[in-house]
Amino acid sequence: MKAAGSDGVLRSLELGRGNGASRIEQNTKSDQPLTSLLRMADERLMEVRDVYKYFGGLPALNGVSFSVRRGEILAIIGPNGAGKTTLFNVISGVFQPTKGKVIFEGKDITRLPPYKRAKLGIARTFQIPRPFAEMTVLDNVVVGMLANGGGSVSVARMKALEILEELGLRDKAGTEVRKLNVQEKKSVELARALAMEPKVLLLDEYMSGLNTGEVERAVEELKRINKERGITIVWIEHILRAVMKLAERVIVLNFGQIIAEGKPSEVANSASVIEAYLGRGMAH
Amino acid sequence: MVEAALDLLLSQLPVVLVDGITFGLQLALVAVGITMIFGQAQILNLSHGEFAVIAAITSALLIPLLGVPLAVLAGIALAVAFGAFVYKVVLLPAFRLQGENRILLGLFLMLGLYLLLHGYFTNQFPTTYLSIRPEVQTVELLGMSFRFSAVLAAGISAVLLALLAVFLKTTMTGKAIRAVSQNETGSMLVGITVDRIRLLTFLIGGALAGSAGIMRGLAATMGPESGIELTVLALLISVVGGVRSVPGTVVAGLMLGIVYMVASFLVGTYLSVVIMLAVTIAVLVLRPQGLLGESE
Amino acid sequence: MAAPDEHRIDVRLLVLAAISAILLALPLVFTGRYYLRVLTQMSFFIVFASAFGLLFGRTNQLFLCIAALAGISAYTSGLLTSRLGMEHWSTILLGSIFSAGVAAGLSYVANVRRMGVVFVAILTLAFQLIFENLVTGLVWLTGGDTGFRPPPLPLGPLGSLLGEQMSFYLIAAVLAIGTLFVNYWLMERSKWGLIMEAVRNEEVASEVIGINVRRVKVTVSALSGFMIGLAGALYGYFNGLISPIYFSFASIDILSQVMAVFGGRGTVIGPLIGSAVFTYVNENIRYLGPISLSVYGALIVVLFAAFREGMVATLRRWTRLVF
Ligand SMILES: Nc1ncnc2c1ncn2[C@@H]1O[C@H](COP(=O)(O)OP(=O)(O)O)[C@@H](O)[C@H]1O
Ligand SMILES: [Mg+2]
Repeated sequence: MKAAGSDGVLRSLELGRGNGASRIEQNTKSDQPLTSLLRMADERLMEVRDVYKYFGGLPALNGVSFSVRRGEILAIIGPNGAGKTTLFNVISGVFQPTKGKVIFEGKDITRLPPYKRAKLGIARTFQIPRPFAEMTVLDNVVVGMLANGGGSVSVARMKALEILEELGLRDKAGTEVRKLNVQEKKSVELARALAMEPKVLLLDEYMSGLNTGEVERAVEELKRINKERGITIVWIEHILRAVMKLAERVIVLNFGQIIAEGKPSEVANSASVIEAYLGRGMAH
Repeated sequence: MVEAALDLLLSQLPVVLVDGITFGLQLALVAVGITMIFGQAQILNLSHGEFAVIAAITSALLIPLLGVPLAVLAGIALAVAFGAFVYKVVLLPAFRLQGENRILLGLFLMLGLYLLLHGYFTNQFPTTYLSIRPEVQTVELLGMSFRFSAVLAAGISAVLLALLAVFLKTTMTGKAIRAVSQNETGSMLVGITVDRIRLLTFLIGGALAGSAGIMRGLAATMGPESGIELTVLALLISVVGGVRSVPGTVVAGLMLGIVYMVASFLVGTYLSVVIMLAVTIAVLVLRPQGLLGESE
Repeated sequence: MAAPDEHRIDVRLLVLAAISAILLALPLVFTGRYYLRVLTQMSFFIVFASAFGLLFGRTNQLFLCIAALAGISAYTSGLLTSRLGMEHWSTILLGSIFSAGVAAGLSYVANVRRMGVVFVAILTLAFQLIFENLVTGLVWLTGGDTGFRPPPLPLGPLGSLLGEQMSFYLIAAVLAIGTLFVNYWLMERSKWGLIMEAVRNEEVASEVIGINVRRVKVTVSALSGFMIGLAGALYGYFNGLISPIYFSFASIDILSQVMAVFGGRGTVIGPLIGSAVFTYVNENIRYLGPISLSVYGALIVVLFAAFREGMVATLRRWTRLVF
C-alpha cells in the first residue's frame, strides 16, 4: 500500500485535469509532458483503451476508453443496458472485446483468460450473484484464497474467518450459501473477492436492493476496504446517493459510450447526463 | 484386394446407393424426432430408437391377426401412445427441475428407459422380426431393376418428411413448435402453452420413429435389438446436421445413409460405424455452433 | 464440504482404515473360489465407480466411456504382452498412461469447445462405441468378437504362496483401497476438494476467482483415466480373456453409474457402498439373462428420479437425526 499523502496529491492532480465540462474520451497520449508520463506508470493501475463489444451486430460497448488510478474509488453509472456489466465482463476476461485493449499495470491483458487476470489482482462480483451455492459461506471464501496460492487449507480458514468477521458474516460461516438471501449472497461474493487479496475490486450493483440504513453501512464498508486494504474500487451503481458520498470520480455510460466523466458533483449537474440518464428515470 | 472391392462396388453401386438412400431417409425420420424433442424439452432421448422397435414388434405380432395395413397402423399408434407416456409419466421428475439439472436427469431417465425396453424386447421377443415383403419384387428405373420394397420404403419416408416440413412451415401449431424451441418464455407470453407443444413433439416423434421402424421392416428387417443402432445413427445426424430445418436433417440423413452403406460394403459394418462416429466427433469438435440445432 | 471441524476428518480416516482392513479380511469370511471371484469383481468396480463418481460428481463431466478407458489399457497391455512378448507390469503402466491420455484428451476437447453436459455425453458415448466397434472389427489384431487370451499375469512369490485367485483378489483390493485413499486426499484433505467443488458449482465464478477450470477438469480426467486404466488392464488378466463384451457400455458403464449414484457420487465411500450392494444384486439377478438389463434400466430411472443424493448423504441425515 502506498503512502496516503502522495496518493492524495496525485489524486488531486488528476482531478485537476479532469475539471471542467464532461469529456467524451480520456486523452491518453501525445500532449502530456514527460514528467506526467513517467508518473503515470506508477499512478495508473488499469486502462481500458478504445474497447468495442458487439453482440450479433449490436454494440454493447462502442469505443470506451478510461483509466483507473491506484487507490481510487471510481463509480460507473448509466441507465440499464448501457453496457456497464459488459464492461466488467471485458475487464475480467469473461468476454473478449470485439476490438480494443485492456491494460493492467502496464501489461496488455486483453487476451488473458479470466483466471490469469484474477491472479494479477483483478477481482469482481456479479450483478446477479454467482456464489458457490452448495458450499458453505466459509468455504466460498476459503476457495477464493486457495485458488490464488494461499497456503494450506487451515491457514486459509483462519484468514477467511477474519474476512467474514469484518463483513459481519461470521455467524453464517457454516451455512450453505443457497440458503441465504440475495444481499447475503452479494456479501459472500465480496468476501470471496477480498480473499483473493486483489489490487482492484469490480463491484456490479453491490447496493441495489438495500434500504437507506444498509446503504450507509455498505458505503462505510467499501470506504474501509479501500482505505485499510488499499484496494482500488471500480463500482457500478444505481444508487446515486451512495455514489455522491463514496466515489472520487464518476464515469457515465450510455449506449456503450462514455458521455461524461468527473467528480460526482460535476457529473450530477452535467446537462448531457441529466438528459440521458436522469431524464429516462432511474428506478430499475 | 482393394481394387477388387472397388470393382464390385462399382457394379453394385446403384443398389448400394438405393439402400443408402432408403436407410438415410429412415434415419432422418428418427433424427427429426430427436432434434425436435431436444429443441422443445432439452431432453436427449436415448430411447428414441425404441419407438421404432415398439411399432415394428407390435405390427409383426399383429400381422397374422389383422393383416399388414391394420397391424402397421396399430404399431405406429402404440409408438405414439408411448411417446405421450414418456412425456407425461417417465419425464415428469425432470420437468420439475431447471437448467442443467433437468438436462441431466432427462438424459439418465431416457438411458434407463432404453435399457429397460431393450432388455424387455430382446428377452420377451427374441425371434420376432418385422419383415414386410410386397408381392411385387422389383421395379425398373432408368433401365435398371431395384428392389420394389426398398423404393417403396424410401418413397413413403420421403412423403412423411415432406408432410412434416409443410406442417412446420405453414400451420399455426407448426410455427408454434419452432417458436417454442427458440424462446420458451417468449412463446408462453404470446399464449402458446409450452406443455401442449412439448406433448405434441413427443407424439410426432413417436409417430415418425414408429414409421421408421415399419419402413425398416419393409426395406430390410427390423428386430427387437435394432433400436440402439437407429438411435445412435440418428443422433449422429442430429449432431452433424445440427439444424432445426427438416431439409437439413434429410440431407444429413441421406449423406450418412449412403456413406454408411458404401463403407459397410468396403470395410464391413464395424469399421464403417467407427468411421461415421469419428466424423461425428470431428464435427462436434470443429463445428463453430449449431449442434443439435442449438446455437452456443 | 464439511464445516471447519477437524475431528471429523480424523474419524473419516479411521473409517477408511477400518474399511481397508475389512476388505483385506473378507476372504477369511467368504471362502471358496466363487466368493473370491465375486469379491475381486467388486474391488475392480470400486475403482470404476469411484472414477466415474469423481469425474461426474466433482467436476460435472459425464463420461459415458468408462468401459472404453478400461478397455484401452487392457487391450494395449494384452496385445503388447501377447504379440511382442513384453513384460506385464510395464505394459500395464503403459496402457494406463494411454487411458489417462485419452481421458485427458476428451476432457480437453470438451472444455475447449465449451460443451454442455449433453455434448460431453454424446462425445464420450460416441467414443465408447468407436472403441467397441474398432476392437470388434479389427479381427486380425484383436480376435474380434471372441477376443484373445493374454499370457497370464506372473504373480511371483505371492502367487505360489496364496494361489492365483487369492493373489488377484489382493491386488484388486489394494488397488481399490488405493483409489479410496487417493479420493479421500483429493476430495477431503487437499485444497483440490474445495476447488473441484467450486468448479462443479459455478464455472464462470471459479474462473473469475483464479481457478484454471480447464486444467482442473483435464487433470482430474487424466487421474481418473489412469485409475480406470490400471483396473482395466488387471481386469483383463483377471478374466483371462480380453474381448469386447467385457469392456462394453452395458458391462461396465451402467454398473459403475448405478453404483456411484446409489452410493453418492462425489463422495469417497459412496462408490464403495454402491459396489458392495450392486455386486451382490448383480450376482442375484444374473440368472435373469438379458432381462437383467431391464432391471438396471429401471434402477437408473428410479435412482435418478428419487434418490439422486445417494446413500452417503442419506446416512448422514439419518445419523444426524439419531444423534
Ligand atoms: N451475453 C450477451 N449476449 C447478447 N447480448 C448481451 C449479452 N450481455 C449483454 N448484452 C447486451 O448488451 C447491452 C448491455 O448490457 P449490460 O452490459 O448488461 O448493461 P448494463 O449492465 O449497463 O445494464 C444490452 O443491450 C444487453 O442486451
Ligand atoms: Mg448490469
